[in-house]
Amino acid sequence: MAGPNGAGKSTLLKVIIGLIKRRSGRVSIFGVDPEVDKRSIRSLVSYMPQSSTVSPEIPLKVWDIVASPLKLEGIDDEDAVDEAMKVVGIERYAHERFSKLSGGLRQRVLIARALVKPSKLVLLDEPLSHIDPKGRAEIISTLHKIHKERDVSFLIVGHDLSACAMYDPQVILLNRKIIAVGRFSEVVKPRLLAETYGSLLYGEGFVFMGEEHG
Amino acid sequence: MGRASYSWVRNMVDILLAAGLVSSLISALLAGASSTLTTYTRTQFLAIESLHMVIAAGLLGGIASWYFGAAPADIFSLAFMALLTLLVAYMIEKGYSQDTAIGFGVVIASAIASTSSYYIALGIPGGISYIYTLLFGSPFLFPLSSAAYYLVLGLSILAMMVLLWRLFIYMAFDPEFFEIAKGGGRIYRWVLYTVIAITAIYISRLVGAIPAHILLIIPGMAVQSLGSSSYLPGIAIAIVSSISAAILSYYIAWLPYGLSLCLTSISLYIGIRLGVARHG
Repeated sequence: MAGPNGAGKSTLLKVIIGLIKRRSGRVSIFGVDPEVDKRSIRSLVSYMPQSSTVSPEIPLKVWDIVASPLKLEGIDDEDAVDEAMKVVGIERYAHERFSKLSGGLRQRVLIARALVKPSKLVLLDEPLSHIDPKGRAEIISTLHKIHKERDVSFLIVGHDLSACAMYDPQVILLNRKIIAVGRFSEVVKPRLLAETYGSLLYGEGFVFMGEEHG
Repeated sequence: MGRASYSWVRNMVDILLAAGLVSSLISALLAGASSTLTTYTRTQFLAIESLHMVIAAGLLGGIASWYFGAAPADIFSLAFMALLTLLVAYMIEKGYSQDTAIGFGVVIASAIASTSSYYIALGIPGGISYIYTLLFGSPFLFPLSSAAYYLVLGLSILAMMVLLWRLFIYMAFDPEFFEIAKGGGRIYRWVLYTVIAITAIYISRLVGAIPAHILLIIPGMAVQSLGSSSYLPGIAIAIVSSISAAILSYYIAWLPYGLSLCLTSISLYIGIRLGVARHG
């Protein structure tokens, strides 16, 4: 899901997960209304908020953060924590403090936290910010692998989703309303991007990818 | 006769020291943990506001007790504390920022404290002494006969804090994620505010409202320098600074407890900062 700042991407994610009440319309996640049955939504959906909502000054270690969804439910599963860290390549930082990590590593920690608990849908709000192009490609490749192996769906919010291009995922272009929905190769076109981001300012990566795929 | 008098005086002094040590110790137990919690949950301002409320509530309770005869001051104080805590929590729920809501509470508490203290000083015999004791207190005036009661109460509050410690820390680290993963963030926030308010009352009763400011702030700052998310270092720091302050204040006649607590706490904090800087 892509769109300019203020397009409503994060708000839509929060509505999907039941953090914000919808004003109109209907939300159904695997047949569950998040405003009605929050407990079921918790078992079906994982969520990674934007890294700006996190307080890094709290001296938590990486392992504690990744394990937090399980600990909050009273589950003790060290293997699941180790596996989630391994998937995003942060296992050697397990005993480091979160505050000591770079922006890119912090993003990976938050992604690992979203993956530690089995779920059917994972919502990731700008997971690729602060990560270099090589790292983005690695993470998207990992998520694609999880999608294939475990039948988990990912809804990723971002400005530049070019790292996803090779998997040709479904893309939603949003700017306070849905501009377009379709495969990456069909939707990421200069005309639609211009409509989404404005005629002069559209996502740098998207312009490049749009032309390449267009 | 002379020897007997000397023995009587010495026993009294020993009781004062014992009272100072006991009240310092049991207040530090709770203050150390609470201070760390308020630092990480960014509720130091709330803790300080709670102390303002304690002062206002204590003064209001004094006036009410005087006006209504035998009515216990504590009932009025607690009712007022509960009302202001609820007001702050309600404002936060209604979308005001935490600082704004707490600031509003401070304004009301200050207005009530100023008015009440004025009328207590003017109208109640021994009123000025009552105000001084409420504000500055003294661990040496702690009645040792109440030690067991305070210890049980303090340990109960501490146990509750320890039980919810991880939840509060995770909630402070990422409130949105906490709401999704656990839910009930609103209830846990109310519990947190209540625990902080109760802690503020508790510590104020033991060492006075003004010294309680120091106990509720410095140990948390020191723990943050150490980079620990546990409650144990905070308790240890609070105990060391509080006990040494009581001993210093007891043996140095011109040194009041509040000042000695400030000196020991800040010295310990600076020592920890230097140690961390030296050893990384």
